[in-house]
Amino acid sequence: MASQLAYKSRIASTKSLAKIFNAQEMIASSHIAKARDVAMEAKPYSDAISDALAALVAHAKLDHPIFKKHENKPNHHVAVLALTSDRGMAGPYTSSVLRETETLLTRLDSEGKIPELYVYGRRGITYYKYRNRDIKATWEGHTDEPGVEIAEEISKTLLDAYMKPGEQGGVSELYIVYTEFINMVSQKVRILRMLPVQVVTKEIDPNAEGAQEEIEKARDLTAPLYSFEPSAEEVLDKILPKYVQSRIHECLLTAAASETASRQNAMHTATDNANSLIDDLTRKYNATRQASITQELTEIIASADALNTSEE
Amino acid sequence: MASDKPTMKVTIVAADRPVWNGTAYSVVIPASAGQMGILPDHEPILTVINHGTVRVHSTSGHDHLFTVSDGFAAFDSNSMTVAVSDSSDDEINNAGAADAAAAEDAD
Repeated sequence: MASQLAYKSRIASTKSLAKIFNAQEMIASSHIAKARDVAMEAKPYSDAISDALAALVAHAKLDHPIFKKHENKPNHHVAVLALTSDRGMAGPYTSSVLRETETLLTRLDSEGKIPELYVYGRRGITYYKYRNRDIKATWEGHTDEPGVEIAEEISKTLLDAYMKPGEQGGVSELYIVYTEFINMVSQKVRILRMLPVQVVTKEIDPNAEGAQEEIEKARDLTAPLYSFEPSAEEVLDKILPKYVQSRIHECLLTAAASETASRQNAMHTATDNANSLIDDLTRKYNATRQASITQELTEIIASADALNTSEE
Repeated sequence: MASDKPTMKVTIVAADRPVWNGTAYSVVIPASAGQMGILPDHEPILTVINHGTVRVHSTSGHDHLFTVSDGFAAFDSNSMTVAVSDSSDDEINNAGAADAAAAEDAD
């Protein structure tokens, strides 16, 4: 049995860890309210863009590279963007994104495509750098509160890569691996094919029965005859990159909310574990203390007995 | 009277936040081909806007000015949406309000 002193110091260190975890948990829960607000604030803009795009889709014959890329020969290069976190202590957040990314990369490989990796978040970057993997571009900083600037930067880089023809190192598709925020306790890693854009104006499952009719209906509803200034093509040219940017921003925001929630959960569990560890250690500490007292008593009684016997 | 004038709903949103919404008598936007004034019951329109100033003549009688970066504006079913990447905050132009008051007096 370890000494009392050893138990005492272990209890003390576990207590200070528990304090840190608890503080982290509280920080995360204050951040999550903020993350949610930021996501709410950005919603009207992305709604406005989706509405405008819906109007365009209903009106114009869409023949823009963002919807379908025309190339002389098939381009097998595809881009994969993984959204990870900057800091650890977020439970399985980054590792599940990385696992999903690996699965996606393997799948793309088996389809004969050549994936190119883009990573956001320091943890993901370190992971791939350590494994000597080729990374096309990385971004880091503010994964827990991504601003419009970073979304703009990312979407610009990726759109540039997409718009370039295959011979100049362009890509034909873009996938985003991100974590969707469902609620405080559940977040799910999702793979989104961002480019080429598939426009579904409302939340209609295209595989569901009657979905086609609903899409048609939605199309009729949103088809007041718009006039476009300067022209439908130019408006489309202007709006599509913004649409992509706002979608990427949306992904970043939901990923940030997930990261914070995941961190809060992890820290909550860690605090609980630390507390039960402290209970356990205290029990053991008490047991050793009691054992040493019992031992001392036994020794005293035994020696007294011995003295009495010798006196007789 | 002011209440007889037709009005429209106006929403101005920036990429990271809603900027302003309310009802207005008219909106002037920096459209691609120059300044464009939109009045209530305009035909549905979707236009690219450039960097410039959006002027909203609101029903409260104030002129609201917003310096905006590029984006687009949509008008349909009497509701105007201006979506821009970035926008300054609301600056109330009181001179405009005085003009408006004068105009109303003239009515």
